Amino acid sequence: MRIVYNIFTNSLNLGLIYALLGIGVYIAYRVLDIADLGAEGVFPLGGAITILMIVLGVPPALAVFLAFIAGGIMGLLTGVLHTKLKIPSLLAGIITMVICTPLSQLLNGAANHAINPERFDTLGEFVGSVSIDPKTNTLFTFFRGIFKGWTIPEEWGIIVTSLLAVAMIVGLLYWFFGTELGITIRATGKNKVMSRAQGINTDSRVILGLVISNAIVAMSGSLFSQFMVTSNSTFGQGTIVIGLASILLGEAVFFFKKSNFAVSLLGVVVGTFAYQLVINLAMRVLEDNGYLKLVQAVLFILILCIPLFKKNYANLKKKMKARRNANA
Amino acid sequence: MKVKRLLLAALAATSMVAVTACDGDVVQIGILKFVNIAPLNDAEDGFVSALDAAGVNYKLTKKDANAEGALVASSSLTLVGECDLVLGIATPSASGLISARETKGSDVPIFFTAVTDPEFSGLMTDDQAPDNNVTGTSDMNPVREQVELFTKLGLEIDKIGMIYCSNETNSVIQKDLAQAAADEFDLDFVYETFTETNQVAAAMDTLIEAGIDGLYTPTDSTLVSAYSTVKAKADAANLPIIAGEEACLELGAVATLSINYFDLGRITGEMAVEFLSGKSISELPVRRVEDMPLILHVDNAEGIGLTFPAELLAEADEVIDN
Amino acid sequence: MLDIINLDKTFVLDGQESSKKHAIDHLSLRIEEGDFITIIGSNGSGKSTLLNLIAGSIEPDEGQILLDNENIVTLKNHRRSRFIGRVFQDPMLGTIGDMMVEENMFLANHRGKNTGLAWGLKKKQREAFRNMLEPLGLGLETRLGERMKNLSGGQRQSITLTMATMNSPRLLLLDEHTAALDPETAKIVMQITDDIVKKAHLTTIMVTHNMRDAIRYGNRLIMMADGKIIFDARDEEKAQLTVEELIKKFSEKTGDVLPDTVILNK
Repeated sequence: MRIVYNIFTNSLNLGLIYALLGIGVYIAYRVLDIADLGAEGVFPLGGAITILMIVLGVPPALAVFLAFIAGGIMGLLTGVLHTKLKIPSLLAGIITMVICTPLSQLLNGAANHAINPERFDTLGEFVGSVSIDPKTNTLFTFFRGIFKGWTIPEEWGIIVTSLLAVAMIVGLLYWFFGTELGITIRATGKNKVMSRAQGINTDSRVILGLVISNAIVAMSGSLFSQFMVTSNSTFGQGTIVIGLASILLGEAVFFFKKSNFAVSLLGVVVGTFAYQLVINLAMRVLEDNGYLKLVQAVLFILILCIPLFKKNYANLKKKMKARRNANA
Repeated sequence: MKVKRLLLAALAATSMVAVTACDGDVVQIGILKFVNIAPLNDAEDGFVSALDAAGVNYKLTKKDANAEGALVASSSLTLVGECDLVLGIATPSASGLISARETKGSDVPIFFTAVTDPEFSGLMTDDQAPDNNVTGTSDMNPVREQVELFTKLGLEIDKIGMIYCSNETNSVIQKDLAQAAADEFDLDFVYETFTETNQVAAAMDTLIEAGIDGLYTPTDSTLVSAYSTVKAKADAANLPIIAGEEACLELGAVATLSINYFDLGRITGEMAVEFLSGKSISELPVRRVEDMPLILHVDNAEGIGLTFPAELLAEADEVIDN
Repeated sequence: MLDIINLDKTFVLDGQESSKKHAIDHLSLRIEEGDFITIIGSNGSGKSTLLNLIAGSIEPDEGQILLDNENIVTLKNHRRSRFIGRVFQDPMLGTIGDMMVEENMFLANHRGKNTGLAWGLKKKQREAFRNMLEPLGLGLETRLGERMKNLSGGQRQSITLTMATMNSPRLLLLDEHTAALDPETAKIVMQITDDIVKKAHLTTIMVTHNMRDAIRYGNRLIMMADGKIIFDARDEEKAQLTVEELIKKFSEKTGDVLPDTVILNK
C-alpha cells in the first residue's frame, strides 16, 4: 500500500513541478507553433539563479521571480534572433540553449563561492553543480512547516506549493490570452499571413510569446532546483521530451484540442501528472532503467496513434449503422 | 478508455511485485547510479561484493538515471520511500537522494561513492564528522602525485595542460588541485574546458597551440567518452598523457596512480556492513582508497617516442607491456 | 485617390538569372474615389501581382503607389492593412480556422488600433458583430462561438468580406474571392459583395476570372496581359460590353487567344 501511495505522491510532486515546464513548452510549440529548443538551457538556468539567490539570502519567492525574469530575457533573445535576424527558430533556440549552459555554470561557481568563500575559490569559474543543505529555506518551506505541524508528510507541503504556483500561472495565462494582446498572439501562432493582413505586428507578438514561454520554463526550473536543493547545469537534458510528452498525453486523454484555452492549459497540467505516473510505473516494473527510453518511445507512438484509432473506430461505427439501415 | 486500462494493469502488476517483496528480515537496499559507465559500474559491483562477503540478507533495487535530472528525481523519491539503506553512485545521485529523503520525511541512511569532494559538492559539512546521516567514499585521485609524474618521465616538461568537462564538479576540484601541484613542481599550467564532446577537438587545439609539453586528464566521465579525440590530438603533437584513472591507460595515457573503483565500492560496502552491524553513521567518516598503485603503459609511451627512466620503472607497481 | 505610377516588377525564378518573369511592365493606373474596378486577364497577366503590390506583400522594382498623394511603397504590409481590406481566393486564408468567428471578427475590428491589455471580446462588441452578420442572411449571427473551420467556404468568405470592410477601409482588394466556391454560393457571395460595396461606397478592385461578373459588377473594367493594361472601359462603355467583344478585344491587343479556362468560365 505504501508503494501505491508513493507512486501517486511522487508523480504528483514531480508532475506539478514539471507542469510549468509543460505549459511553457505548450505556449511555444502549440500556441506560437515554434519549435523552441531553448527550454533545455533555460530550465537549468532558472535553477542556477534560484540557488545562487537563496545562498545569498534572497527570499525564495523573490528568487523564483528573478528566475522568471531571466527566462523571459532568454526568450527575448530567441525571439529577436528568429524574427529580426531571420535565424530559423530551431537554430535560434539552440543558440539560446548553448548560451545558457556556461551562464548556469558561472552562477553555480558564484553560489559555491558564496557558500564558503575561503574554501571554495570558484568565483568566475564554471562549476557543473552545487548543492545546498536540504533544510535551507526554500519556497516549499512555508507549507512544509504547516503540514509538519498537522503531522502530515512534508511532501504534501511541496505538492500544495507547486499547485498554488501552477494555479496562479494558469489563471494569469487564461486572463492574458483573452486580452487584446493575447488574442493577437494566438492569431499570430495560428496564421501569420492573416494576422499581418489584420495589421498585427507578428514579429513583436512572436517575441512576446517566447518571452512568456521561456519565463515559465525558467520558473519550473526554479521549483525543480529548490526541490532537489541542487543546481546542475545538465538538469535541462530531456526536458523538451518531458514537455512534449506531457502535452501529447494531455491532448490524447482529454482531446482538448477542440475546447477553449483554459481547458487546454489544464489538460497540459494533467498530462504532466499522467506522464510522471507512467514513468514511475514503468520504472518499477522494469529491471533496468535503460529500457525506460523504449517505454517512452512506445508511449509516444501510442499517444500519437490515438487520434487514428478514434477515427477508425468512428468510421467503423458509421459503417455498421449504414449496414443496419440498409438491411432494415 | 485504453489508457485507463493500461494504467490499472500496471498498477496491479506493481502491487503484486510489492507484496512479494515484503519480508521483515531482508534489508531493502537501493542503489542509484548516475550513468552507465565503467568506473561507476565497477563501484556498484564492489559494493555488492562486500555485502555478499559479509553474508548480508539483502534485496537490491538498482536504478540508473541515464544522466537525466528528471530520472535522478523520480528514482531518488522511489528509493528513499521504500528502502532501509540507499547508495548514490556519483554526486548527482547522492544529492538527489539527500533532497528526496528530506521531501519524503524519511530517515534512511545515505551512502555515496565516486564523489570526489563531498564537502565541495555540498553533501556534508565535514567529511570526517558526518552529522546528517550521510557518509561514503571519495574517489579523490592523488592529483598531486599524478602531476608529479611529469617530472619523473625524463622529459623536458615546462608546461602542462589539462582538459575537462565543466559540467562535472569533480573535474573542477581536480583542476584546482592540479594547479596547486603544478605550482609546487614549478610547472606552467593551462587548462581548457568543454561542455559537449564535439568541442573536445577545439579545446585540444587551443592547448597544443599554447605550447604544452604534457597533458593531464582528470577522472571525468564525459572526457572519457571522448578520449579517442584527445589521444589523437596528443599523439599528433607527441604529448605524454598522465591520467587520473586506470581506465584511461587502455585509451592512450602513459601513466597513472590509479584508483580501483571496484575497491572503492567494496570499501563503501564494508562501511554499510558496519552500519548494519550497529555502528552509527556519525562514527563512519568518509574513507578513501589507500592503495594507489603506479601503473605505466610502455606501449603508449613508445607510441610517442618515450622510454621510461629505469628509476620510474622500478617504482612502478604494474607495467603494461604487450 | 489611388495613383499607380510606372510600376515595374520582375521575378527571378529559382534564382536563375536566365529565367525571369516581367510580371508588371511599367504600369500606370489612376483610380478615383468610389470606383469599383473589375480586372480580368489570363493567368500570368499580372493581376494578382498587382494586388500584392498594392497591398504591400511584395515590393516593386520601380514606381510609386500614391494613396491620396502619399507614397505607400515603403509602408510595410501590416501597416497598410490598417486601411486596405483584402479577401483572398482561398477561404482558409482570410480567417483563422482554429479560432472562433467572434475572435476572427475581433481581429478585423481591432485592425489599426492600439493593442493593450483590455479584455478582448466585450459584450458590446459581440452585439455589434451580430448586427454586422445579420444582413448577410446566412444565419451566421447565431454562430459567433463556433470555430471558423466548421463553416462552409461560402460562409467563410462572407465573414471574411465583412471583416475586410468592417473598419471602412480606404481600399478593398478582392482577389478572385468567389473562384473557389460552387456556382450557387458564388452568386450569393457576389451579391453580398455588391451590397456591401454599394452601401459603404467603398473603392474596390476586384480580380476575377468570370467575364460575366466583370461586366456585370462595378463601374470600370480593366483587362491585363503581360503585366500591362490593354483595355480600360468605364460606365457607359463598360455597361454595353459583351463577353464575345472582350474575347475579340483580347486577341486584337495581344495577338493571342484567351485560354479556354477563361472563356468557359461564364
